[in-house]
Amino acid sequence: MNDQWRRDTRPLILEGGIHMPYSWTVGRVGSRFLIELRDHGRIMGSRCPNCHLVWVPPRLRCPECYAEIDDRAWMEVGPHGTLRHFTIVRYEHPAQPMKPPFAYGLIDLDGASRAITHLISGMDLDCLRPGIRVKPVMESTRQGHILDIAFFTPVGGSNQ
Amino acid sequence: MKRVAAVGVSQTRFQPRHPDKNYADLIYDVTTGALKDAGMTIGQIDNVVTVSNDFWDGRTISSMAVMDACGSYGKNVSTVEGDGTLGALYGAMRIWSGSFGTTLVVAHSKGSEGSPFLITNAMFDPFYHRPLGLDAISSAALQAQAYIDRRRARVEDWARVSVKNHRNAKLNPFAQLPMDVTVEQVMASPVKATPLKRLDCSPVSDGAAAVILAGEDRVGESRQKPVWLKGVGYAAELHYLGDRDLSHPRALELAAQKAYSMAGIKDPKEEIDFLEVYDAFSYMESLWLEGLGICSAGEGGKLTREGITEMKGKLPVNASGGVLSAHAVLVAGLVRFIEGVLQIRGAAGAHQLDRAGMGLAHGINGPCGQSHCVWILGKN
Repeated sequence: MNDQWRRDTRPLILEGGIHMPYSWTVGRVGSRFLIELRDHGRIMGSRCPNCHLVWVPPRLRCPECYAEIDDRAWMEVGPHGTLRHFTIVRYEHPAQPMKPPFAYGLIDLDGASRAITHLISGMDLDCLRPGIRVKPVMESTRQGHILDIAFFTPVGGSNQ
Repeated sequence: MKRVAAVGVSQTRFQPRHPDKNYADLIYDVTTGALKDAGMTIGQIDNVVTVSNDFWDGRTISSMAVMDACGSYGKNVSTVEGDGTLGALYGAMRIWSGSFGTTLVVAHSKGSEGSPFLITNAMFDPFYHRPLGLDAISSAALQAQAYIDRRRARVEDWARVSVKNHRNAKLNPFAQLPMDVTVEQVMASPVKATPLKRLDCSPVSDGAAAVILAGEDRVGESRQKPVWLKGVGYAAELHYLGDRDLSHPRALELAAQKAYSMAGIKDPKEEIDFLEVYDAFSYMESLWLEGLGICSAGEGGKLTREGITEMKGKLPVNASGGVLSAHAVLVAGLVRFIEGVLQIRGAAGAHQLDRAGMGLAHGINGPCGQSHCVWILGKN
């Protein structure tokens, strides 16, 4: 078998890409959460009637015990909360909503049993510590999107 | 339930880019490689499980692109979109169920061809997390920080994991990043997302792997000594990062308990000779050792600091160099499985361990190890 062609053939690279638009249905639970955020600037959670955990964003059924959570179990949480953990991102990508350095945090909103993940900004990143109190900064024009919360920022500056 | 064994294995060299091979070419290599390893022909393969991901491949039904490459024409072939350890689980279940006598499991990934940022950003839900711009690295950084905040983990211990695994990779001809680095160099490497630095992160590789599994009535068809699948466990936890305590790998504990129970293991750190775990980031090796019950919570780093996880230590971890030294996404879990098989056969070459009668191979799927698959492999 003459295998010379395997050595002689210079492999080609095909440049291409996929741009795929989607229209994702948010669902009634997610829609109500985002509409409360859009129309009233409120962050809603839902309390499991069985195990009493408060979930944010709200769920149709409790992820822990699978009990159904009905509309009456919805409640406002936060808006203040405590920063549980954070990371300061140093690398850049166009799909990031902020230019690095910027921070992500897991935030325990007051009244919620589980944390939400969001951006942390509006302060000197070196002042971030786990346990500091934070509050959301809302966009003035809101459209029913998680980034209607622009980011969370320390309550009253860098410390408390 | 009949016993199932791994009777043929193959992996490609892992590289930043395989510019001369498309993913079907890589699957041809490992399919023929595994058949050659077993001394079997494609006619002796009863069914095939492929492992791939459409986003990484840049096409839908990505498995279809490798159907002829894995010799599945006319056979029952099915696909796992998830880690390679789960492909092995599906392949083994097809034999345990009595449906088939042998299964070929193949996995491929070419990280070089797409955008790892956009692809791993797309693993998050489009409503609450994806718009934040999270990807594999920034979400792992949150977990690493949680590990520090909750368990007092030390970044120097993770640096030691990076040093150890890159050094081990020097003995593994398939690894992408064999190198001598010092703790100081890891600590001084550029920060990606605090507390993770570049040398705490795995590369993204091109590569493929294949395993042939056989029921006990068919293992004689291979020229290799069988390596038995003694136990397996799989568990998942919640997807949203904030729903989880990221410092506590609950799903891994459950998966490990199932695997140990099936294998009849009472004390894993005494009965298991070596581990191959999915260290996509340095801290993961320490954290997963805690979830696997090898040590108590917060003690994972100490195992590395005290040299226990070294190749010459009491319990070697990632003698192959681990995922830190070669990370073809999805494939890497099947490679952990293959490394387990090679060690138990005594065929691991330069990184062969002295004691390798019973090994553990581990894979993860989803952000921050949302789900875990644990395999116990044994000589007898």
